[in-house]
Amino acid sequence: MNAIEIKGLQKNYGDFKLGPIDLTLPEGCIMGLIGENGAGKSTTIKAMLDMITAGGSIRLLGKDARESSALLKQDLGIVPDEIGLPEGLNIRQVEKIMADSFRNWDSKQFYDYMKRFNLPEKKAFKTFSKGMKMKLGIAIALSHKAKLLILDEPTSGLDPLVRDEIVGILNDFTREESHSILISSHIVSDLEKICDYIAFLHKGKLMLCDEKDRLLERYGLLQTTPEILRDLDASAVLGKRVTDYGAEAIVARDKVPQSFEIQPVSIEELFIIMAKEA
Amino acid sequence: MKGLLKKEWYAFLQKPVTFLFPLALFVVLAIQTKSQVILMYLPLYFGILPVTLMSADEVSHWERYMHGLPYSRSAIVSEKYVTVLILSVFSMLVSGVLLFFFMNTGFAVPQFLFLIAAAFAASVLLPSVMLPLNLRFGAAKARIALGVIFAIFGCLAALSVDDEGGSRFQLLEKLAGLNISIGALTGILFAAAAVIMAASWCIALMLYRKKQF
Repeated sequence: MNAIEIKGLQKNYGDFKLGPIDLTLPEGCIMGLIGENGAGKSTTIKAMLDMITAGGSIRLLGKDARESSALLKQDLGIVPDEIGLPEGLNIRQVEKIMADSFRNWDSKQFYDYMKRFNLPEKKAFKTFSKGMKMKLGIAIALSHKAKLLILDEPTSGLDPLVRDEIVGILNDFTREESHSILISSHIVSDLEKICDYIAFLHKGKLMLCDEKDRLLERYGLLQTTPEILRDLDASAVLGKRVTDYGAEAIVARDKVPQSFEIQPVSIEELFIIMAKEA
Repeated sequence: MKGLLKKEWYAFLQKPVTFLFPLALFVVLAIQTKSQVILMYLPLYFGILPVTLMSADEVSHWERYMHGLPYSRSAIVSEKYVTVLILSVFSMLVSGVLLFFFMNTGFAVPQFLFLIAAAFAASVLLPSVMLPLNLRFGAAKARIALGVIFAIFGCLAALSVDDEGGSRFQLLEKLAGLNISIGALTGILFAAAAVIMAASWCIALMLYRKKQF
């Protein structure tokens, strides 16, 4: 079963148009949704959570995301970019609210996370730092036996140590084979560490969606001169960056002569150069 | 819906002053003055409390976060109305106890029930207007809309005053002229409050289903 199946997703805001987007995430995998600010990542996630009306079809865990929205969310762990819990509540109160909301709520697991994250149980949520708030949001998402985690920019604005800790937690979650994650971010290095699939969104368009390893195998970085680059088959070059000192391009390895020295490309370079070209 | 109701309860507990101070103030004033008008402020205040708490929810982005929780849009809307109903019944009971034990100036049971019905109607009227607006447009825009509604009513009230300062419509006199029993009036008041609230709930559901976040 696919954890996520999106077909022909479209949303028009007048000055911004998202899609059409086709995207599939097999069960047990992690997909990174990469894009600059305003690329359409949050809009895609909002459509998945039935927060906006949009064209196309969305199936999560085999169910129609719009028709079975509330029931479906019992199996989803949602972590928005801003954990919008009422400011005056403390962790004990939050736990009680969630226990009354999720049928599979695991109180022990939640408090285990609280200990692991060193979150104070009696302090008001408004006194928490951004990292603490995000950890609480993740703990809530992980404490009701969710099968699919959807995280919108969870590492944005956090220091590298907290980001690394969050990446570790997400890795732990996917040890269970049926667990899947969709994580959006513009911090590509975080996604590169954990994702099996990568989807690039740029100005509302899905530029690319494939397995990370296949992308890294298929594409490489060619450093050469603008003249040589011009002579290459146009379909081989996905994106290029020309400076006074030379040129570098993302190329499809199988479409350039073997005599060229193609270096491995990182997902971050791949995204930046492709987005600039688009 | 239980989790949402619990959240409202905790939100009330966060601000005991806004909850307890008006309660104490109205109770003391009503007992001292034996004024039934002052007593009506109590249900009016408690009815509007859930609406005022929505502003705090907006600031904390709770409304958006809530969409990650397993609640349908209908449940989110209905929870607000259930909260209003709980607070209305609570304020109606407090008003009843005050009227019966502390402000009883010798009125009979039908008059007592009429005042209770008036308390209920007072508590549901304002939230019935505000909730659909708040849910659809947010607290700030809803306040503007309420201001416009009050301004329209103010203009109508001004137009209803005749040249000698009297009312053109003489509503109370007309009601008295209809010779309706106080029991029937009580029933009408309860029924009108229930109908207004039910209509408001339907409108809120319709508007909230279309809301984009």
